[in-house]
Amino acid sequence: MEKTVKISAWQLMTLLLVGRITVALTYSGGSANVAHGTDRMASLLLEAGLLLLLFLPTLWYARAAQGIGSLEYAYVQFGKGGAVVAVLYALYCLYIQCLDLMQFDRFANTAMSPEVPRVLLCVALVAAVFVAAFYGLEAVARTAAVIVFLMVAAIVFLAVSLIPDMKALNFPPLFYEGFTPVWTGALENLPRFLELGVIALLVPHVKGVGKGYVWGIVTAAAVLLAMQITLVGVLGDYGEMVMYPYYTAVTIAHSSIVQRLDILVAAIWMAGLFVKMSFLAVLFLGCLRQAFGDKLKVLYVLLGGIIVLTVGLLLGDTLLSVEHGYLWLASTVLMLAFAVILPVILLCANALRVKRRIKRGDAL
Amino acid sequence: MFHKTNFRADSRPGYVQPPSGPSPATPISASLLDNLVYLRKQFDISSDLMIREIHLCGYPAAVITVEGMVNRHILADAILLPITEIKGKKFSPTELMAYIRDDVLGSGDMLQVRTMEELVNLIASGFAAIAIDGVDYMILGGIQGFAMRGVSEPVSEVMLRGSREGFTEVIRINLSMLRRRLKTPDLIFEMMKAGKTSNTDVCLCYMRGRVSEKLLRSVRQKIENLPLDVVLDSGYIQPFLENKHLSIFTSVNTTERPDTLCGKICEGRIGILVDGTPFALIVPYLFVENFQAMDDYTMPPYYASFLRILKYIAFAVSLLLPGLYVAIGTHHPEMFPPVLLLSYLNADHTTPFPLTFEALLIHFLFEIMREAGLRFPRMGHAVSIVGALVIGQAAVEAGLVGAPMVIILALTAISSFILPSLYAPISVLRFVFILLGGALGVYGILLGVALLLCGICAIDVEGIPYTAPVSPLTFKALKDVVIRADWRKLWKGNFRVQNVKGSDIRDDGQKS
Amino acid sequence: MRTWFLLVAVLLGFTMIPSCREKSQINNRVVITAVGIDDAQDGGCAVSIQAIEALKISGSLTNQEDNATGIYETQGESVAAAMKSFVLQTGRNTYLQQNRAIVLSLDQVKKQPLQTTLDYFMRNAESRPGVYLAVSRGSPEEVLGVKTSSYTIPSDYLTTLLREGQSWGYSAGTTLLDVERALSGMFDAYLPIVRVEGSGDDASIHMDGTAVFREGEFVGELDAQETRGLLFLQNALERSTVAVNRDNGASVTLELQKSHTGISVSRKGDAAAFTIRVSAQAEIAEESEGDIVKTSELQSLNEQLAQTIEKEIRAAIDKTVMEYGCDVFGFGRRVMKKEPGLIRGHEDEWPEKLRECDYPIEVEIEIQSLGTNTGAEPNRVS
Repeated sequence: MEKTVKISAWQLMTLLLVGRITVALTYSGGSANVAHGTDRMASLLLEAGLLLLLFLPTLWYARAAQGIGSLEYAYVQFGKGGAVVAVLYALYCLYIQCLDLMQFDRFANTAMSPEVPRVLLCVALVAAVFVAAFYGLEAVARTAAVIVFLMVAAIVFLAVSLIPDMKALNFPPLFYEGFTPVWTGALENLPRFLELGVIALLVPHVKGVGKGYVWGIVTAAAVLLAMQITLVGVLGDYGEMVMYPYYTAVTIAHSSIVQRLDILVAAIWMAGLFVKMSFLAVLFLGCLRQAFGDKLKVLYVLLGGIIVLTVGLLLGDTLLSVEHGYLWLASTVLMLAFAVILPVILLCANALRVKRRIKRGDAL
Repeated sequence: MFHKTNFRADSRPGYVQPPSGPSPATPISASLLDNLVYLRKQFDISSDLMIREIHLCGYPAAVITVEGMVNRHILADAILLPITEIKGKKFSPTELMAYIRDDVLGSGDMLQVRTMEELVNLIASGFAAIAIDGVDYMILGGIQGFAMRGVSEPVSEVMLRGSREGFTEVIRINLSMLRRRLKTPDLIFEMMKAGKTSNTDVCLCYMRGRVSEKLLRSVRQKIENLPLDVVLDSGYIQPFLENKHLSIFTSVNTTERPDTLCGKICEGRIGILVDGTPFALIVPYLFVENFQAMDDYTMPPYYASFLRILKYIAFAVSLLLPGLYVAIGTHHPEMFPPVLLLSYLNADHTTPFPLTFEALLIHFLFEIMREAGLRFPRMGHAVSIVGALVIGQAAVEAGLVGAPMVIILALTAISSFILPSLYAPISVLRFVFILLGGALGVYGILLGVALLLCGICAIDVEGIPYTAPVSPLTFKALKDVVIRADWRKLWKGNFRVQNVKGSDIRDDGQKS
Repeated sequence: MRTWFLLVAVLLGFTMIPSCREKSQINNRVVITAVGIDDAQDGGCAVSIQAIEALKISGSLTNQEDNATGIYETQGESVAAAMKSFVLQTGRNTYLQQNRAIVLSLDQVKKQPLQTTLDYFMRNAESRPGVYLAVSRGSPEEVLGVKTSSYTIPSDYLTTLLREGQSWGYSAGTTLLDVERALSGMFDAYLPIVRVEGSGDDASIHMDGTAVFREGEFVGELDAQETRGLLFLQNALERSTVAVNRDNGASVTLELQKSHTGISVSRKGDAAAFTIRVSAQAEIAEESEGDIVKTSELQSLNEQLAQTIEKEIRAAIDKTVMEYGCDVFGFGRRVMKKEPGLIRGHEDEWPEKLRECDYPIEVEIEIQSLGTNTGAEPNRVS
């Protein structure tokens, strides 16, 4: 019998932290709904609070299910119908990966302009991610624990090297336009943390899932706050006018003989993206193996990679720019469906089943 | 559900485990003639089987040895002389054998065998066997006198301060070196045989009470089930002890030093000595141990810590510097400060090859010269002259390679020599990173590093994470990872390798 | 075995990628180290660039005798069109990532607002926000062509002048990021003005005041004194020299060190009062008659120095705020932070409203050192 894969709360925390940092790097000042400057700092804290609140259904599920993951629970409740839940989870993981790749592709196209064709870069990234899927959850979690140190160290290093360029005058006053931008900014960014939807899957695989999640959100808030302070301190209101303000702020950083430390940001992004997408790829592969068996694992991986590449590269620009509103709506609905509704449905189904068994027992 | 995928042959359905276990034994006959005929048949035309037929108290007898394996003087003085001078008493063959065993022979190493297989194994190990017609067993005395290399300084692990003794090819001498250092009955030597034909002596060395029973069982089983016919070196056994066959980093390391092996054994690891080779195996071997050396524990902690950090930096430099230079030069020249940029532009302008090709070429040439110098030690001077002149001077002046590339090569090469146990993976991965840097720039290097890191993190050594104690993080163990804490702190804690975080073979009572 | 073959195949596949097979791309590009933008006679703009010439690089910096750059000029309908047309001249595309300075002619800044002239550089991903900007009195090409034996790349000379000039109080050291911040509405932009004196190998660059802009449009200039006043207010001045007179008429040159300026905002009816506090330490650098400066005179020197600084700051405020009506100091931003109620909803009125505000200035100087010369004359015989 295969041993149950177990990761620690600390490792879950690092996975979530990496995911949050990667999303924060894609923060664009261009959107009117997003809070700016110091308001965004308040927005980040509010967002953290909301994410903790949204975690409550999953936490309640974890305690009620006594360590059984949502997928296994679905099989217990619905029998072979659990395969449908497995496929839904797999598609959800692919959806998040597609979004991440779209953001990266847009970034590579506009801000980075690398000499390397961006398609090749995306193919290399997706290939690496799906190869890492074969290494399993423990390997990806351990990798995240190492990479997160490097990411946070790089962010701190960039912040410190930019201190001489920060000015107090660049920080706009808090709540200058009232509390509305803070609230709308938090809601706008909330569905970008889609990993919340897969935490229920990990219940049997994490020692202390609640602890890991809370630490992840709290440390992410601290790191994101540091990033926001850096970019506002350097750019001021100009940060609202550029697509990737953090990246822009870092382009003026230099350390000794090395210049253009924006490569460091692209490096942090790439490393974070690799960890985040690998994590989702492991879950994707695991769900399909659960549903359809182990034999075709290579095919699952190939299929997943092709779907992510196709959607990410072909539809990326359209979805991010033109259909931004629909994308936000879809992400919100999906996040609520997997993070809130599904655990509740599973627990209700169990309650009903127990009730029916008791009734039958009484009848006997 | 989210376990790593196992691509090993023995995990595929339909795989049949090769048969293991000892072959049926041939008992020693009471007839001396039958025994001698059997032996002559087994050894066939091999000329080193020596059979000295004698008469003892009127009974036909024989002394059986293998030429070159025994000390002739001791054979004559301690065995032949005493037994041929037995007179006066009347014995039956069995009584005579017992009398010789208990009262006559002076050898401290006396064994009694009842099977031909044991007999052949022992006479080939330097024992002299005494056979008497009418007795269905033989007695053997250990009078080894084969030629062997003396104990000398290990070539592969030179230490500034520390013992100058290294293992030899004789397993018994190696065992004595360990026993001298750990004078405790808890140090257990478990002898086994490996190789169906070679019957090579293999010894598991571990500390009772410190080693994990699960680890011990697993290693023992693997050695018992070795499908090999011949085992001539510990390297033959090494792949069978590793869990992940596709890994570029080994999870079973070797050492030539008895002090190093003792230190590892005291941490709960198992040492495996193989007769015929001075290289002992250590199981399990974690990634961070590549950066640890015996010298670290004999030097002041501040200097030892400095050396450790230096090694980590050297690892990164030797692995990534050429790839980074190629990546930055090809794709990200904006990172160069003005001074370096001019130097780079000039070098790039005057050389005909792309930077990637230049890096591959020069590193390839270096590996050829290094290997040539290694295989032909007498030509070492000639190789270094060729290397210095050809690569260092002529190639740069001819404009084939740029001067910065030669400097990069020098730095890389020197850095890789600091870590001999990682030289093999570094040499190969360096080329991979050069290609990744040339193709995808710094992003390619990063992806490579991330994937490599993931691959390293996926390795489990007998249930212990290969990247422990860094990931999963065990704070207490870190005092001997990046730095080397003072001995006053180091001795506390009783570090056991099986008790690191993430281990599946923790001792009972240890918190997970 | 299969996996190893696959790995080797992938790695060999990488060698097929063009960047692996071809020479580094930077050698096929014109590496620009400075850009000059001038107004073209027939409309559009004339762009000149200072670019590294690979053949001029000796490969060893100790053997580098001449500067390693050349100057190219072209014209186009816009800056972007002109930049792209360098391909026709050089056969290579431009590479902006090593650009250090952008020099605009006075005619150009008078003709077009900054946001139009600099739009190409603000949008281009290769362009650095840390690049220095300057306005030239003559043609920018002249400025780019000034050579110096101290720097291999002449634009390093210009950027050093601008950077050091700011800390010494001679010129503003404005970068593209400063202008971008200004154009986002936080405050107004200002750029240093430079001019070339001499010609050929004897040519040199001199600072010549500051150009001031309102919402990106050129409105006027500040002279040297006003420039120093501006730098005091911006807290950008690290040290400077000021000459004052002693009671006996001799002149004393004082070197200011560790200058710090703080601005506090208080409400004054519908307007605001900006209290400017300057504190600095000074030391006596030179006395014109070589005489001892007595301790009793220090108070008088302090006061004179404080008055000089106050006068310069006042002149800067009078010129920029009162005369030109622009807010280069970020006064409006300070009101927004300290007294948001004053400005909220009336942001458009505020550049004008600054004229109604008060600007009391307090300067505190402490002369720390008289130098090492005591002036004592023992054993004088004549």
